[in-house]
Amino acid sequence: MKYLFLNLCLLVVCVLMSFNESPKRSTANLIEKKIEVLPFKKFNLDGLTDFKPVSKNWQIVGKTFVDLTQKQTFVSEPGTGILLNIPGKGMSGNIFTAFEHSDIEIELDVMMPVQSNSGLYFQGRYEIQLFDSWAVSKPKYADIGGVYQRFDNSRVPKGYEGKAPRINAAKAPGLWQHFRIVFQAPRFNAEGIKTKNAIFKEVFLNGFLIHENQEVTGPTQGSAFNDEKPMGPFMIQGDHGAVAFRNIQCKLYEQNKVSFNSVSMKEFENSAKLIPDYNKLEKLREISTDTVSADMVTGRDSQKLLVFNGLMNVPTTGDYLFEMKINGGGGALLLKTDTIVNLNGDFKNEEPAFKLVTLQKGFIPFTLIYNKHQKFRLGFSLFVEGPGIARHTLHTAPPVNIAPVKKIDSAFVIDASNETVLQRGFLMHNKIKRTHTISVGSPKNIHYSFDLAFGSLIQVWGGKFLEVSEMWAGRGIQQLGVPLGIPVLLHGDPDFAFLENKNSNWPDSIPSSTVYKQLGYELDNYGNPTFSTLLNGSTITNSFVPIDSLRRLKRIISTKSIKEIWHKLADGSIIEKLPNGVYAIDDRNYFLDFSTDNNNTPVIRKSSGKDELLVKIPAGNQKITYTITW
Amino acid sequence: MNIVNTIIKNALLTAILFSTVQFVNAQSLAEIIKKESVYYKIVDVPIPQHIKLEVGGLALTDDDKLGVSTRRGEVWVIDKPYSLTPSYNRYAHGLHEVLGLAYKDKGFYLAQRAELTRLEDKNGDGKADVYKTIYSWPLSGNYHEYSFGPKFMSNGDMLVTLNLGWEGRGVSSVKWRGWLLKITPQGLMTPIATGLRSPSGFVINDKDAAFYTENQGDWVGSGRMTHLASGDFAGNTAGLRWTDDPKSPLKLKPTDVAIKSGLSMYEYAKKIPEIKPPAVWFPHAILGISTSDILIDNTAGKFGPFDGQWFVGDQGHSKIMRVFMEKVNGVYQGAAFPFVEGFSSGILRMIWGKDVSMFVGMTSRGWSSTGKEEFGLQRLVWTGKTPFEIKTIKAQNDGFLVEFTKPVDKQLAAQSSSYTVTSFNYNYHSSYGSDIVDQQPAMVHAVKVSTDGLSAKLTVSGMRLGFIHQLKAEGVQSQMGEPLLHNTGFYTLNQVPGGVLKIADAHNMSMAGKMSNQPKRVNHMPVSWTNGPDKKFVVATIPGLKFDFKEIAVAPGSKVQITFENNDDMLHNLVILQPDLENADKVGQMAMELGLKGADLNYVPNSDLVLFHTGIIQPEKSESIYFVAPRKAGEYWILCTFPGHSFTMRAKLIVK
Repeated sequence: MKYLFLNLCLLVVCVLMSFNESPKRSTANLIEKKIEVLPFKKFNLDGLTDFKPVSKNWQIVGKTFVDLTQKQTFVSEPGTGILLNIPGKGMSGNIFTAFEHSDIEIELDVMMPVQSNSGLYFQGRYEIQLFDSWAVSKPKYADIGGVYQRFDNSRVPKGYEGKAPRINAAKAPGLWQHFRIVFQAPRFNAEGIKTKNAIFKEVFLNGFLIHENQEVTGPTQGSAFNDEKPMGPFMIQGDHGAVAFRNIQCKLYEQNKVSFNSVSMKEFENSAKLIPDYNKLEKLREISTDTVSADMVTGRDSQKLLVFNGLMNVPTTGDYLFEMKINGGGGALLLKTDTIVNLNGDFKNEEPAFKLVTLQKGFIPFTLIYNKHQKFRLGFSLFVEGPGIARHTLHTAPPVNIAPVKKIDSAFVIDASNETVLQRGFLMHNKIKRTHTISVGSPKNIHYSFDLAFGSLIQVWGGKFLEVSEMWAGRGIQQLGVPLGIPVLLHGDPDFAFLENKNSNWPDSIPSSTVYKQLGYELDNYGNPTFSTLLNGSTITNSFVPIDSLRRLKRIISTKSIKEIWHKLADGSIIEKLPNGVYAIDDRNYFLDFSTDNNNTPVIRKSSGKDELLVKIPAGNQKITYTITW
Repeated sequence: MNIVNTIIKNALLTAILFSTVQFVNAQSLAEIIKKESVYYKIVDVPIPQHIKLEVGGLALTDDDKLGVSTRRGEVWVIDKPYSLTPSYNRYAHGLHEVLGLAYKDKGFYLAQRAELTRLEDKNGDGKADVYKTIYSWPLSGNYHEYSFGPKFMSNGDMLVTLNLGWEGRGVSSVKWRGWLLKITPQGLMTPIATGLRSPSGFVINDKDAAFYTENQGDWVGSGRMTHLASGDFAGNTAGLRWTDDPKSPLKLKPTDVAIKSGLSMYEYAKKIPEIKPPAVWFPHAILGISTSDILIDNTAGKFGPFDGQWFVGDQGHSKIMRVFMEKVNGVYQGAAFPFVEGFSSGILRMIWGKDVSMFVGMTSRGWSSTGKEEFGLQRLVWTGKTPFEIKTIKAQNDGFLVEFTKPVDKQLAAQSSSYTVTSFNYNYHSSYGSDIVDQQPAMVHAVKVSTDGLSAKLTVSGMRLGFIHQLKAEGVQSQMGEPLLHNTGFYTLNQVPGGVLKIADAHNMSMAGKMSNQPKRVNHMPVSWTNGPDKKFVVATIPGLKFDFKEIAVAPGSKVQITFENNDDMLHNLVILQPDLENADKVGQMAMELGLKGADLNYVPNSDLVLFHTGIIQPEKSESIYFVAPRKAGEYWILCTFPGHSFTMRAKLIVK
């Protein structure tokens, strides 16, 4: 019936994605990268021209290296691209950007050496703390990512309103850590009186949302200014410790918004999947409205077509990026007579359409069509981002302005604080759902996931263990276990393979020439698993040992084989062997320490545009150990 | 959406159709549960507060502890499960949605989503330390790909069943969803049969024959139980995707099966030999909505009077049904009855406890069930009292042999009016579920009660092979005056002994009185016809309840002889009526309403609309009638008015 077409499409998709006896990874990297946000403005780190003049602790270098055994130390190599601060006698000033900002969206990578301390001050006033918090189990406001406290000598206590990050997202010193922060400046009225506090709308550290809609009532401790103003320079603290930055980019926003004006809406009966020529249809009603929303439809379970017409106000000339999503239905956005966004058909929220257009300042006639051809589905959303205009909704959003924080239901959290815990479930790895996977959590707060179908370690993380509402709430439609920390992803290919020679491509799935048998796992007296697999008659076992309560995981591999077997330890954009013999993986995403007890040495090679770290395991009974630190 | 509409429509239609036969019980659910509990009591097995015992599998260990696997990936071992203070020990955890459990060789076997796993406790600390992968199968990541089992065959091999994925309809995205697989403990897999959709329950009988239950859904008109042998196709085409694998025992492809044949599964199976029609249908919403586990009563009478019979659980209606299974001409078939309702959640698993009580494991998370708890574990205990029930219904070629658990009141049981029989079917098509189709009443002509009062042979006409027969014994009482606890059973008639339906000989039909005076039936040529009839016709029937002619023509006032040869396997008559379609319908209806008198009147109502007619003619017999054609020209109707036949068995007598 009406689902038959969609079901057939789904069936076709499933056929195309079907598993054979050995699981395969989909070719996601062949899909074009589409623009989903307007481009950032990159800081020029060839020199210090983007900043006000600074003291000599600040410099531009090409490479930095941190020795985990040394405090507050950087070793650097000349070059460009990295902003480095090493405070010393007589040189310990902060650094300020040449520009001043109001609302800002900024992303950067930061590297902290052991026990170092710095901070990002928005408008020179509101600090997000930078700190080496690697070993911390319960983070405070003074740990990395915290909103630092305010300070008043006359108050009791003197420090107040510091906000700890939701979880400790810190990585080991010497690894690049990625921040994404969306900051909204305080608002003032015409008399200059503050009407709204500054807000950290989003703070992401290493991919994890550690703050959301966090207000700051005034400048925090160490601020460069005592007052609050609409604009201020972006500042980085320079006197508390060594710190390095790269890939700093931002978008500055004014308070402009795109809006819909003089809107009228026509409503029609329609069950056709494709948008009909509604001029030929009899309209059910036509009204002028302020609400551009799917809720305008009469009858939640009906099949209708809504056509909104009016004038779109474009505040400035420039590039605008529209995003439209439909919750089970079709739609389109037209400006004048041009179709800007085409979602004509049957689309889910997971299939948004993006379109970049250049628009002139002024009022443009628009038509927004919502085709609610599915009876039991309702909803569309339209977003826009523009020059100096933060991404915002164009559809009339429901009255609740602040997105509710997704609470983690403790009923669906698996706790590993008392003993080692295992849990099989589906896992996402690089946007692909893996089905034969198991996660292991330890009381040392170091956890990992293993893909049983590939015999591969696929991710490691620290903090809390696993959230399983996607498995155990209701039907558990996704059946996903979700790590309660930021996982560091390993390469995800089969960990072991028989290569013809050292230049053969590494397989991304179990090749048909290899007979792969999962053997399962056995637990030791502490409940730690050892996984076994059989590859063409060679037995491989894997076990993992968390080290201390720092983020370190030791891997022990033993093989029993009549043929030599290759093991891929890691891959990434750049793999370097550091002066202390440790490998830095994927441009300092994590460290891999290959024990010198092993008889063989890993090799770094280039393959398919990335670096791979491989080791050849000889035939016979062999044992390999190494440690991953992140 | 559409599915919901179909379900509602089916439920309403079921209610309407069966309300005419008074199936919508006057008793409330609470009343029924109360009555049943006199004979079979439901007892809770206490579960500690912190344990979410969403039962996926049940198995007794060697030392009489109860192993319970759960949808949360745990295996619990319960000591003293029959007591009020059982103790729970977590034996294993971390598995992915376990939906079965078996205990063998001092360890467990279980099916979880991705594999068949063996658990062992080597160091004896009460916790599994070996989680061995016996056989792993691919998954697409769809939540609906549940994996069930294992159960053991007598040679030590295991069977598992794999649910289809769901994407608006059942899909088999990866091998071997929708299949029954045999797996040895060494991990060698052989695919056995396919066509499965939601095979949450299956059983292996003492002859190593496997049976599984299916839920109403796409390609499945109603819940049912099907015997699966190697190479069988149980109905849903999704699994047929994989028949080109060299290990597949059948080669049928999805495109070989018509999306909408317009036939029942039984009829369509005549065209496609791989199709295995069900052994027992469970009419949707009457006997459950999502059939699950099957448990055979091998207690030698310690669980009541149903030794050898099969119990079938239902997840949606939190109840257990009972099945009497027999084998006729090598084909499994039987009768399904209600048994016990009122369990606390959705039933998924049933096993025997050592004390011959039945452990019932339940979960309903994700779906609603009549029992409102999210999960549960209960025991069904026989109180020792024997309920007055229809014990068995056995198929005969001319009716049904009905056995009772207690002696009946012979007078009431001997009356044909104490029973009603109706047959109906479901369509076999790709859409979700099926309406009840082609429903027709059958006639209980005679009843012979055995001398011990424990059985009654019903002579029935109007039985149809390949149809489900509802037998209601509303008028039967026990010798002590009890009504039947459950007075209805549903028999799936795939075969009859001898292979062919045969209506009883005339002497077995209960014709209470003498033959009525029927002047319009003239079987001897009138003496005044000295030159014989002006026209002679010999007519017969063709399959599908039709005459073998469309019309015969005679001159007004002419002398006519019609010889009707009944070459069919049912009773027929031939009745000539006044013209007008309205009249044909009317007479057909009047014949149906003759009730018990019908047989005496040869099913010909006393009406001016009727002109001439034969009597009821037995198969292989014939009868001739003689009449003078009407003077008035016109198109006169010829019908067979045997109940139910008049809609299709029509022809015309053209007078001109």
